[in-house]
Amino acid sequence: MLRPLFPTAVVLVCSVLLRPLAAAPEITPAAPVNQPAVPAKPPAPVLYVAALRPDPAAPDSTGYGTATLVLAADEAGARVAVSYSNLTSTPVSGHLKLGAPNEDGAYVRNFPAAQPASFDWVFKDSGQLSIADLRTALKEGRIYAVIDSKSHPNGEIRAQFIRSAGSAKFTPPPAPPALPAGPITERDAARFLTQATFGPTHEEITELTARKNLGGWIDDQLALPPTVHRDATLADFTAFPPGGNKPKVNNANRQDAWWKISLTAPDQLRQRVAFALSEIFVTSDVNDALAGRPEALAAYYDLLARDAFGNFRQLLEDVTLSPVMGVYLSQLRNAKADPKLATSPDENYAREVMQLFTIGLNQLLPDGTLKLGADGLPIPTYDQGTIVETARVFTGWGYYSAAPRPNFRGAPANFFAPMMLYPEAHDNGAKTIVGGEKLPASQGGEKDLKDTLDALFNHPNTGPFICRQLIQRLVTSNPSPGYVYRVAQVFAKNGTGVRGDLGAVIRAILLDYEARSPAVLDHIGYGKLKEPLLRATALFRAFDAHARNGRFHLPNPEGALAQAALRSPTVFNFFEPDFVLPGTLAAAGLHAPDYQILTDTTAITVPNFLYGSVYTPAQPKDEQITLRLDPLLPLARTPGPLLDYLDLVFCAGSLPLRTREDIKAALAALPPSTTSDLDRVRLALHLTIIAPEAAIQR
Amino acid sequence: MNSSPLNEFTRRKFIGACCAGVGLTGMLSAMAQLRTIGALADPANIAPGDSAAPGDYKALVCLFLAGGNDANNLLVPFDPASYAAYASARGSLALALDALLPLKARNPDGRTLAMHGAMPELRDLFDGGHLAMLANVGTLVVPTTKAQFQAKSVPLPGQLFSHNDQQVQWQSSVPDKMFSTGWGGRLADLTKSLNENNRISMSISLAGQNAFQVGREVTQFAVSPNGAVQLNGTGGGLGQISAHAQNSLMHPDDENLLAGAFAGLTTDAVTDSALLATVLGKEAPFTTVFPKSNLGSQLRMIARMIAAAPALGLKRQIFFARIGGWDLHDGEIPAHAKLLGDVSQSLAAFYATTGELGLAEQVTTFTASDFGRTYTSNGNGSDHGWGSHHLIVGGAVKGADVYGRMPDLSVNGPDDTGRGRWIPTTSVDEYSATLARWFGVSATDLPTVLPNIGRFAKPDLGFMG
Repeated sequence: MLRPLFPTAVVLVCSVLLRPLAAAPEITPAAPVNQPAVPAKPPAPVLYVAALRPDPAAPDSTGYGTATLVLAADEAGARVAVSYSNLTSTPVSGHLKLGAPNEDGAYVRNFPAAQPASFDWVFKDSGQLSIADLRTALKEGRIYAVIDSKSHPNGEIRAQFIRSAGSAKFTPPPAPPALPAGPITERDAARFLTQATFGPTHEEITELTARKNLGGWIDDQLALPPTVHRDATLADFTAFPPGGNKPKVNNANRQDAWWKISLTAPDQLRQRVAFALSEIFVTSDVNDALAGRPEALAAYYDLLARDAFGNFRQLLEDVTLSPVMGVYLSQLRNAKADPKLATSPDENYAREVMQLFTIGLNQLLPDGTLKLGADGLPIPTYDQGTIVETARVFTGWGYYSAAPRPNFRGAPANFFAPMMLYPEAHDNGAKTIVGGEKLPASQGGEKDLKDTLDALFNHPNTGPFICRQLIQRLVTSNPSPGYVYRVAQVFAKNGTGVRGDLGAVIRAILLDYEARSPAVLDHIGYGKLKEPLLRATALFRAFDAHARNGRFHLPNPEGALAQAALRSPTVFNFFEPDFVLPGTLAAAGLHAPDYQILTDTTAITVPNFLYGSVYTPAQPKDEQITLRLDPLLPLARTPGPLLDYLDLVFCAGSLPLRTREDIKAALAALPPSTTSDLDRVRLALHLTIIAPEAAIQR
Repeated sequence: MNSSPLNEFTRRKFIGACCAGVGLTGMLSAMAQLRTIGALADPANIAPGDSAAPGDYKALVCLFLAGGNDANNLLVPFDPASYAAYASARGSLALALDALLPLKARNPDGRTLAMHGAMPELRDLFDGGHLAMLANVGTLVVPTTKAQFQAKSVPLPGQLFSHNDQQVQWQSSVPDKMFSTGWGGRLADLTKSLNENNRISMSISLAGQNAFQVGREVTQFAVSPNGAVQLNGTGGGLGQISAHAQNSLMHPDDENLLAGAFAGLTTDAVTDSALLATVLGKEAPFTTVFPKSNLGSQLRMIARMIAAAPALGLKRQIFFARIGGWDLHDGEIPAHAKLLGDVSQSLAAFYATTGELGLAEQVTTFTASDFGRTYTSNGNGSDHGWGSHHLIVGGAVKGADVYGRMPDLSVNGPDDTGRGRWIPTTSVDEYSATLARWFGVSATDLPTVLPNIGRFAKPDLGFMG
């Protein structure tokens, strides 16, 4: 059966544009037909790389970038390419200058700041500097690139060009500026709760402001036990049995349970993180084999919620051995090669566990930026050979069975226990996995799995790769390398030296300078587009949404919102972490994951969904979800306080004056005598939640 | 004389070194134009195009089979000896001989081939000369032999066998550079001047954002398979106040770039959809019945957009449709038959509709996919491969033939990189170039659309006559 249409079936764009590294030098000459082979070389051009980071005089900057310079073989000049991202304000101009790292040097070449900045620098004698001087300066590391911005006209990010034999020695970023002292404001509290929950209520904002301690709130949340989706799914089924002779738990029960828990459960932070994890460790009921398994999918979501504050190593193992994941990425009943049947092990999970769940495609520095090889290009973390070998690790796992002689292919489906090893189906030969690590022959399937998961868990990529994505889901689409580094350091070692403590990682993400400082709010690329589902939950939570029958019956939100829990069209989620939206965002070097599902269609269906949720019928059906707008009604005739309330809850106080004036003008245009208080507050509410300030989380 | 890379740099034409700037001007100018809804109806507002002759209309439809189609079972060797080898190598993935649909190829050159049994409609189109197949096409940086592949002596596409990377490379046709634009987007940039009006973009996606249609100037416009979606709650007195306010809240020039992009996209979507709804009307101007599948609905909407082209002032349109579910590591045989059956029925209905509209020769549909799949089985499915076979449908297609070179279908043979992941014997560039030439791109302009085409032997594979 086909699901209601995904208006935005997701296609994957720009994923090769990992971080602003588009400045990779040309390497492939356009070879003439029939002569593609090895081009004759020496003398060769030489690559220099500059990793652009904030100038010490611009400590508030979260900008970064890469400049590459290829010195021509005849040393007559160079080709320079510069890309950058995440500046505080509009870029103004770029320069190559001659000087030491902490010095304000002399201009040697200016270039327009507009990206893509890519130009030839032909060396010329000038009054002060000869061609020979320039060559020498370059070779001695005294040429640097710098980008000026509106708020930092003397340079926001800069770096020396260093001759590249791969990435230069990694220098940890400096500590961020101190957070402003003083009590938590209502805006701080609203911003924090927007990042950490499915949307704040006015009451929660007031409470947290009075509590004066975000860390304490996190401690309380970490201590709360998980609310269980499987139980809620079954409860929904029991309370609202579908018709028919042999009613079965269906996907609507699971979706209803997701709404109920996301909107009302006390363990908001855990559930919010579980949702983020469900978009990294993707499984989906779009898959035919899982479409009829709502209870199993609920249990998978529970696994994510249970492990959300535990250790990443445990999460990785639980996901790997989950029969739901086993079905989704086909490592379940994956048998060793059978020469008689001419079969080989299935490579699906071996690939995705590396590409998506742990290390990603290319080697990373500890701050999540790409490590470069001697050719100035990213260095792959693995190749097809690694995948073929790793596929053999994931052989022999099938459904758990307590039978005395369980059968690999015959054991009945069991989605509520981890998969178990059937040694006869496991490839027990020696294997070479990621990083060239050798697994000896005959050590057994469990040890093969343990060693492989250990290698992935301990790989230097895993911390920055996962932490960046969690930051993107909770706080901002373009964290600075410093932010990624600080969180990844906590992943590497929590307070007591343990690697992979996700509770500590979440705390570090939410309490970081870049999540908390009001200074970053004005940066032109700060924040993220809220996911459509989260725009919906924010509205529902703010006004105690409820139906008369007590159900949260929104079984197919993907029709309007292009999203539903565990219903991604592919393993690449509804959107990808490195998606680039053509236009101004791309020009500023910004990634825009959530924009991958903002299309000409969803730009209308999402606000339509919100509209329909605000303007519900006066006589709602039993299952109609309606808002309790009572707290707003006393404010209906006082637009100022009314907008203060809405601005705080949905925009964390970011609504600009001009927008407030527009909404006030709309309210003023309503005929006063014939417009009810309810219509007045509905209009103000609707306009607030569709405003860009409510759609963008900052 | 050319030894200095500097010369190389200055000579070479760069097609945008990254995503930067793409679509910015297009977005802003479309917004300015679209402020005046209804202006379309006024002929004074339609500027004549420069060169398109009356009746010169063409549409190109990319049908993307997302997930990697196992084309080894789309086009199957049929003579007894070859079939026996096929059946033995594919094991549990082999299709039964009597379920296959043998093809009468125009130039059989010794090959006897058959189509998957779920595709009788497309077999008929093949026999009727309106469908061509292209054998073993895939992403290549340069022509590549097995020896070169093994020795790594030529550059290879990055991240071979990875879904998202290979999808992007198929759609950009530039596998050796960071993604900047799709070849459909570059084709649109080059041909948009043939249109009398670019108010509604010539690049229409039925499947959301895609790499294929990312251009420097022409932006992609997404419509749902049901057509234009309209904003609710804008009618009546209250609605008008609300609609006016909603529009005033959007500031595409917002200092926060994320807010600005959101505002720009929203404003565009609302105005474009309203305009499109009036142009499309309520009823489709044809009677051909499409399958009720998602793909059937996508192609039906494309046919409606094609029929609306004159009203929109468009002489060239490029469409993107997508059907997922091809990543069949597991349970392949039944699922694959279902997908191919849907493709066959939907494409046949679409072709019939173009005939009904009198545009059969002006519309060409082609398939693309992440990659082919392994020839050998993983038990009951196949894994990610490389080269694969594809379909081209349309009245202008020189059909009833299989173009390109079939790979040597022996595992560990001369075309195999392991488990039957075939090294492509035709590049995506050659495939795309043949289509771009038909669309009206001159030989001189071809490198603008396909920058790497000079590295390959055949910029015209012949399937477009």
